[in-house]
Amino acid sequence: MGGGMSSLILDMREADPKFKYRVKAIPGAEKLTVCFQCGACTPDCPVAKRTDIFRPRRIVRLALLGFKKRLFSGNLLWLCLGCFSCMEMCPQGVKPTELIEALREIGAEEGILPPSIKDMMKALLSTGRIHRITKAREKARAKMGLPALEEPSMEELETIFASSGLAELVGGREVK
Amino acid sequence: MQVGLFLGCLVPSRFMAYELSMRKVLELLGVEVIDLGTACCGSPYIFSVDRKAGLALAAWNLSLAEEAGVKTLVTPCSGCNEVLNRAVEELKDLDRRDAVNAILSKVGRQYKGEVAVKHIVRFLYEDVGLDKIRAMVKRPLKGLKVAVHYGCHLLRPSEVIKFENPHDPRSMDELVEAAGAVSVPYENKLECCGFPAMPIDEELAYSIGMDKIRAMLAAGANAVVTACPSCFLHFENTQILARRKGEEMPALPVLHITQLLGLAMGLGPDEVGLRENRVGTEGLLQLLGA
Repeated sequence: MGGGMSSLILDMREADPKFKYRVKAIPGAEKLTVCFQCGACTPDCPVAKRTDIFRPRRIVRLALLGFKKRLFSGNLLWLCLGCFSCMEMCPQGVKPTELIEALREIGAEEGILPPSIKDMMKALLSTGRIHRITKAREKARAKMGLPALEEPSMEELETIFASSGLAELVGGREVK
Repeated sequence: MQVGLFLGCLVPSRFMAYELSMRKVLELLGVEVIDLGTACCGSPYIFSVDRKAGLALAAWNLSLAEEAGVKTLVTPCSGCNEVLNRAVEELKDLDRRDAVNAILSKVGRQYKGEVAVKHIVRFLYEDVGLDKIRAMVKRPLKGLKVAVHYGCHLLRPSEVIKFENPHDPRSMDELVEAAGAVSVPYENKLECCGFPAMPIDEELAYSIGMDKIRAMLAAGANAVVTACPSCFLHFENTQILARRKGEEMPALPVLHITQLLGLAMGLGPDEVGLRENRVGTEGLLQLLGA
């Protein structure tokens, strides 16, 4: 059987009817349960146009029914570009993009995060920047006549980050 | 007029030409800028990892601007624009603001909700105005056909950004036309560049980027203009990769919006950092007679 077709068949024994309440508790995902599956979110989705597996409408449905294993399989949730096209189309104000962010957050809590995203967050935790201004870049900036930039206070940022669980979620700070 | 600058981290570390041209254009327009010791915004990805950390970081960044007396914080990066505006919007809720301020108080700071965050395009369009920009144009970019790429986070989500109609934006087209160039219509103009898929699925990111570039070329564009370092990076990298794959197609130079405006205002190629651009700028310079 083709993988594409089989992925459409859902075994209700895998469903967790309580999952939607956990999702709804996250700001941005509150309106999950008002989705009536019209599909207005999907035609403009750049990823849905180009892949067989990713459809905003289907993600919302899987979240509603509580198919956690499906949602967190592979990189499905991380295929979303965060372009917000779906959010502009939804007549119910479901905010599929923010719902997907909420689902990713739940995944992160359960230890599911793509390594590339972890690395970005580790760089942020250790330097205050995802892309750092290296010595070579400082020189290049000066050569172009750009001012030296004040670096953010890591002392303050460490306190700010310590109040969240970010370091634990991404497995610690980057080793310098 | 005085504004604070929020450069983010991709612009000052890798797209200095965008920063340089923005500073020069603002200077020509008589806008004074204040640099701040801000950090990264966390990128839009932070809301997918730890939303609360994202809000606290944004509030910390914004509190630095407030402390410096900044009323308008201008950013050249659409990602920063979305993250900071989302925080501004969410922190209008006083319970959330109190929770964030409890964290900020540990470092002696407070977020008051008194600073507006504007993307550079929006600032130029709304605060400076097209008339003032037109009056500064010394070298209209006659003959230049531009594919305008709005990208996502200059406009969307519109309920957070509250700028233009996300289905029919005009700002960048009108800025390009104020510079004397023509904005050409093309298919799927408002679609994402594809860059955010890069860390997850490079092929997908490439195919979205290529579809856009092909549509721009088919519409007869000589250049694409962007307002976001990620879109800029992706349109250049996609073309470089396409050439490596043996795709035969003309080079489509990618310009930061402030490079285009700067050139029209009479700045030289080096003053807008044009040598940093990696795709086909020789042809562009010839076309502009610069």
